[in-house]
Amino acid sequence: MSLLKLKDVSLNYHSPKGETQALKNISFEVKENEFIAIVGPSGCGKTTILSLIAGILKPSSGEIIKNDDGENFIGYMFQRDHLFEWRTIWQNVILGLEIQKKKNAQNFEYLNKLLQKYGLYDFKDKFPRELSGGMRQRVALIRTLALNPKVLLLDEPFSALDYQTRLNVCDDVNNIIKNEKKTAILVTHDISEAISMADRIIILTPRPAEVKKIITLNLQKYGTPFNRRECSEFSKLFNEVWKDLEN
Amino acid sequence: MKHSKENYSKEHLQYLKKRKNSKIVVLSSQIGLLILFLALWELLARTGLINSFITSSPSKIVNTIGELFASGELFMHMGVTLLETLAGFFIASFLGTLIAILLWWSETVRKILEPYIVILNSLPKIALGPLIIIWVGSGTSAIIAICVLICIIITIITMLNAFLSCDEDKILLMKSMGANKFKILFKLVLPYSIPNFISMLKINVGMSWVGSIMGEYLSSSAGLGYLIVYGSQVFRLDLVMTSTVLLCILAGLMYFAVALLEKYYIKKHR
Repeated sequence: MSLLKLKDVSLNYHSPKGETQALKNISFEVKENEFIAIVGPSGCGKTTILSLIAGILKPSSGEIIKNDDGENFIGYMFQRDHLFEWRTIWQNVILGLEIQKKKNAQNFEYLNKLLQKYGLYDFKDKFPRELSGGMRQRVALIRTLALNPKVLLLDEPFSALDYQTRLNVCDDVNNIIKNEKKTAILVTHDISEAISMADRIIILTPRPAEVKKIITLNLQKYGTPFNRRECSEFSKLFNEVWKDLEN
Repeated sequence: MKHSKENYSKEHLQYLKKRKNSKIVVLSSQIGLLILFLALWELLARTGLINSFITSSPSKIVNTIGELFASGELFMHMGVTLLETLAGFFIASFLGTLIAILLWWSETVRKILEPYIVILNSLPKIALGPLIIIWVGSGTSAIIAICVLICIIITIITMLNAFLSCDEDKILLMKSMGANKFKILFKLVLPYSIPNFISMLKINVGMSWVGSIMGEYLSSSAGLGYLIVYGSQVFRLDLVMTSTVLLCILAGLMYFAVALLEKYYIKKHR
């Protein structure tokens, strides 16, 4: 059963200079616990799809069907960690609970467990500036997990990190998502990142973005994203996606 | 890195010493410069090289302070001006921030009021002084009103810019967690703007003194501004100089208080 379904979704942007079509008849499904990557040429409207799923934008036409009636269906993770510098790590991760008035022992216990599991417990009372870029991104993910969302929307979450940190954080984030049994939609322009993490890759055309191709990967057997980068199919898949993006 | 002092390397101790030395040089030069200036001023006045009737002298200023103190006027005048300045400072900072919040809240109101704020900002506020005296009545309330008028426009502009500079993605993050505008304001925009709020307070220290002294020039019967005007009219320049020195001290202390607040904030959060 699909958790989320986009049906012929189109979106037009309005500006004083006129109307631009950003998305055209986008359709795809996301199954529970699936990791989807959306790749496409820059400026094609990848982020727009996430905004639509998050409900921040409304589609001009088409439907977005969520197979879940609970609140906090989605959790958003951005390019930069956007931790609040004036709050400690603990105060940062409970931000969502604070907003939704859900500060209770049970939720705190869950967060403490997450912090412990992912090596951040000792930094609870530190301020974000005292943490490395990779740790900050992990804190940002735990802040998102605090509200227990079904689907995580990842908007180029590693592109602000240097290459070495990026590979590590990529493994960390993937590990956390798999452990906590979340469904994830990753938007990226980095082809190897998409191949190393996703179960399926959705390739978009230039604007107005349409779904050009959906590639199903079978790389789970190789384990972590880092190991997947080493596997024999990797370069073949890379070339395939590359060619689809090119023309 | 935590090291006890005994564990410091020789090189690090040298570095610390160098740092301390440079601090001592700066501080002693600052004090030395002041003493040199005062001594030169006194010397030139005593030897008659400059006319101490016009320039006054440090000893005359000290004498005048003594006289004012003896007659009980010293703290009265200082108190009046300080009170006006502080009242203007707090009212303008608070009210200005409040108006900035309202303008941040509603884009429509912001767009409607923008040209008015721009024009009010470029207008020399003191031009409205006579009008305010007629409207509010002369005396303390008029002076506070002038003080508020001088500070408030720049407060609104500074704080509004601070609020609007808040990262769009951070607002999006709050929204994705279900925050309403009220929560975005209190949990994100206001705490984010505290550093700007403190620099706004620093600007307002200077502006509020301009406001209260200008106000006293226009209409007053007490205060340091009054003493300056009175002193210049009866040609008692000792009094003018003394009031200016007292003003320097008070304004300096007020700036120092805000700087202390900033230091406290940075210590807590940085």
